[in-house]
Amino acid sequence: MTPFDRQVRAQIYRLFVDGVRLVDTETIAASRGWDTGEVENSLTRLAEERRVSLVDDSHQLRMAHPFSGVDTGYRSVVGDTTWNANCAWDALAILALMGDGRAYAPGPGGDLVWTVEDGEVSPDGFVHFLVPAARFWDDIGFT
Amino acid sequence: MATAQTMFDLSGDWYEGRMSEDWEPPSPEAAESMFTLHGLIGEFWKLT
Repeated sequence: MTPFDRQVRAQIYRLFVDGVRLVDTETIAASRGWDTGEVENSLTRLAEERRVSLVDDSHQLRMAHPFSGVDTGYRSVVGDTTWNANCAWDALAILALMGDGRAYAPGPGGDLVWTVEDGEVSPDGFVHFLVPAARFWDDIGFT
Repeated sequence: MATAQTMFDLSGDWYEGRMSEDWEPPSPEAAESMFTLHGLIGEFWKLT
């Protein structure tokens, strides 16, 4: 990563942490007064290096793990703040980063809800992975 | 499959420092070691 790519990447995370839902070239550039062309080029490089994932044919963030830039149904809630997550793991991971709260995973009968308090997850449950770890990024959206 | 508790515990290690400008992605060996540390072993979790 170039030094600017590192700055862009870190700013993406700041925006997600702050609760910004739509993170794209314009949002990132405006937040720091950066040139939109340079930000767009940086996002392209970051995506090529699998540091982030972009919505198809755009420079909108789809994933900056564990945060999602799109509504997947997976989400994490701490206090009054809700973050979109990419999967059940990421919904739990956001709580590991942001604090005690609830992780939601969509299910056929309604949301599954885990509560995290003082590092303890309840109720017991399982996260099922379809794709082996070595192939997560073959199609990160499917994973 | 893995328990939700395991994935939460792994997340603390997996995402440590992730949001920093200085973050470097872990090597496959280091990433696999994190999996192993949290009991995620076997072919499914191999990266090397």
